[in-house]
Amino acid sequence: MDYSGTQATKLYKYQWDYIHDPQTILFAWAEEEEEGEMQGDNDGVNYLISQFIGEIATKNLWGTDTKLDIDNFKKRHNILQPVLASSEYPHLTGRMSPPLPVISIIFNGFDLNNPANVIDTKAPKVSLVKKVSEYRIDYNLDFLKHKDNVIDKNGAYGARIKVIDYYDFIAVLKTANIDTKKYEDEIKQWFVNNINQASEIKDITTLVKHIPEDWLKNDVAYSKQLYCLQIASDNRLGDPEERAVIKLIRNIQAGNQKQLLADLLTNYTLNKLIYHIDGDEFDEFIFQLTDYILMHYPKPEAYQLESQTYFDAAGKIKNNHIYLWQKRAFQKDIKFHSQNSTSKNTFKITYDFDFSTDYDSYLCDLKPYEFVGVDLRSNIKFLGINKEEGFVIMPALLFHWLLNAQDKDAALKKIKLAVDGGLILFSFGEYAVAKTAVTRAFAIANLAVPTIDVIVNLSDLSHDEDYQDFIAVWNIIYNSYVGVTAARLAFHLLPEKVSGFIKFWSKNKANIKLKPGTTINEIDNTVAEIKRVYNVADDAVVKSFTTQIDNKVQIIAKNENLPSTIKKSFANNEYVTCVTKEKIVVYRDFGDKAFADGNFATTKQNATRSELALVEEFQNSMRFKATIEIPEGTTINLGKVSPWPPDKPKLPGGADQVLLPENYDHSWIKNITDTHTGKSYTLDEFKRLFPELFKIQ
Amino acid sequence: MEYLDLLTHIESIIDFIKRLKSNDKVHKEYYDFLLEKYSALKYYITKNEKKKIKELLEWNKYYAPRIIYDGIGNKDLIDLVENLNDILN
Repeated sequence: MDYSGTQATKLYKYQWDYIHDPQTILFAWAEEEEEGEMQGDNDGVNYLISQFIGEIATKNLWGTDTKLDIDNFKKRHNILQPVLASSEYPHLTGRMSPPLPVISIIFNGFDLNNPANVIDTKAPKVSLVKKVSEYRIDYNLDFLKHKDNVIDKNGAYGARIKVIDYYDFIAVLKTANIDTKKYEDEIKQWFVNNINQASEIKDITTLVKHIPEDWLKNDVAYSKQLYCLQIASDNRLGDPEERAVIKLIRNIQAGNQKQLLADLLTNYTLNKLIYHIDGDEFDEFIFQLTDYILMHYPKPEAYQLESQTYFDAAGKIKNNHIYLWQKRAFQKDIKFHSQNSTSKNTFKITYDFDFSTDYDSYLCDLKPYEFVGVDLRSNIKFLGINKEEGFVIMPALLFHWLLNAQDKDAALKKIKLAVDGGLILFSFGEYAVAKTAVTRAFAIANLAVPTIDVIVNLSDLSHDEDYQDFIAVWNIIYNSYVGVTAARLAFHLLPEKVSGFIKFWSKNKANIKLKPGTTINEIDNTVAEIKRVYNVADDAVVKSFTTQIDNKVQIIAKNENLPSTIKKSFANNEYVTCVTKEKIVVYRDFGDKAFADGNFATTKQNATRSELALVEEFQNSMRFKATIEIPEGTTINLGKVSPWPPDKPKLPGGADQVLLPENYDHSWIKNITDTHTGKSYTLDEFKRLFPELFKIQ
Repeated sequence: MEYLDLLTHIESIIDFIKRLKSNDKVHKEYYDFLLEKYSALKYYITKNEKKKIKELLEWNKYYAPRIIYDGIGNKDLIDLVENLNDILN
């Protein structure tokens, strides 16, 4: 809305037309919340003045009829009950009528029939009040007229003119040369009184939404603000409620901010609020609390945690995310060490952690004002967070919630997803977007599931070329996570969602342009690890290739322990690990530096050097061909032969590639043919003649 | 990466191959083939012959791991040669 310049002194033609169309006016009144927003120049003050003048003195300005027809006025505006002032608010009255608080202003002694009170908009005395807050306060402005300029309940008439905001209203009063202070004081008192009495979330939301921020900060007691937050924490929060919570927290006086941090951690208030708030509002919520922490508990009070592998009694790795206090770093700040953690010298943030133990007691003894450095390492190499890359500083209040959520399973899964899913984004360069540690922590905690959601959704759009660029996809994901509601954090659906992600990648990776420095193989590894971590069913894997033995194998969890060069030997870095359901015959070409009992084989008996991409540098003469029978129940890796070298291929590959188990039994080799002479050998015959062509003697 | 470090790593590969060779009389030719490659690489590094160095490093990158995996299959040696790629990257 523009309050500057000379526009406010003009009455526009469209406004004039608007005034003369009762149906339009009535329709406008019915639009409770949005009525204050006009089209066109959208000047609420002008509009209100024009309404005001239009009703009582239209013809005075432009014609001959200077008298307001009260009866017609009532009829046109469907006035049933005049609004009455109360003893408590002699200049106004109000009622809670969510979602709109209705405050009716009574113009005491304001004679609308007196031409002196008619405002000439061509020469207005407008003293405009500029908005100082984005928060609107909506008013039902009731004009009262009485023939004797005395309040007479029976003779009072009210007409709801327009829903406007507080500042517009004050501006109108000033336009009419009315002293606004008494109205301002009473409106403020009305709000404070009503907030003090409110106990329903809908009332709190409505009142907090409309009250100016400085009143909320200076005139509403802290105890009441905290009470409102506690009420909110026990309710499902929609967007209006979330905004009210943030407005409450933002307007805590400096002297109470530290206390707020402590109070929020009582009775799970913070936990519950974080659970209910999401999207942009959650971002703002965390930022606001972090501001308070930084203001009252400077960052040097941080702890640093150091990871340590933990072994159980049998010497087996039990947890891989056990953390110790890094005491050296903050030794001088012993007063800030939480008691249990320093005495036991351990602190656990592992998602493998067993919450059923009494470790809870010192798991949760962090103070809200402590900053925690969390080493969120992941076994997924692609994420690149096996070093300090995954180190995240987060306020303990967030950390506390992550680990002390009432729903332990949900929290565990969330953390797990956070480490793996959330950091995928950062590894794609989005880290720079998360400019602060808190944003990073927030994103880690909240992006994971929405990320998967979005990927799944995008998978349906994968035919669209706009979605072929992988980086673009991730950007979309990053930009889309806000607004994803907590309801979508449906953990029980995770396996399906992860499956969707895997399918999406499998289907599209060949056509996706990767970020420079990123390889398909790396992402394959990530996908495989995600699949392993989330126990995604093997049949969820959709491989993009077909082989001649597809119906003879059962795909199982992928073997990721192959050397990277061997993984690259499969076309598109794509292979599956599978178990043979029956005997399968494969063929192996060898000779010179390639042994008879090597691991590479193919399903095609007469595959060419080109199909096998056996570039001469491999020193494989292909003089001999072994027929190998793989027994039922054998685990193999299966894919297609990659062009080689992959960067600048000399040979195209394309044959089925079977990677046999290491050191398989020589009995699998049924015969060997010398392609130079055509002679066929048994295994024993060949071994005697060419012992050097067997790695195992 | 400094040439000195590169040389050190290549020497460790050579030493490793030599150890394997000393315990394996059957595959002498195979090991000699590998030794020849890495000895050449070491030599060209000391002579700073960049073209040859590049050629041999590409061989190390694209062929050595597969030749070893498909051949004697020694995982430690595969790691060593793949690490050389990683270092160079």
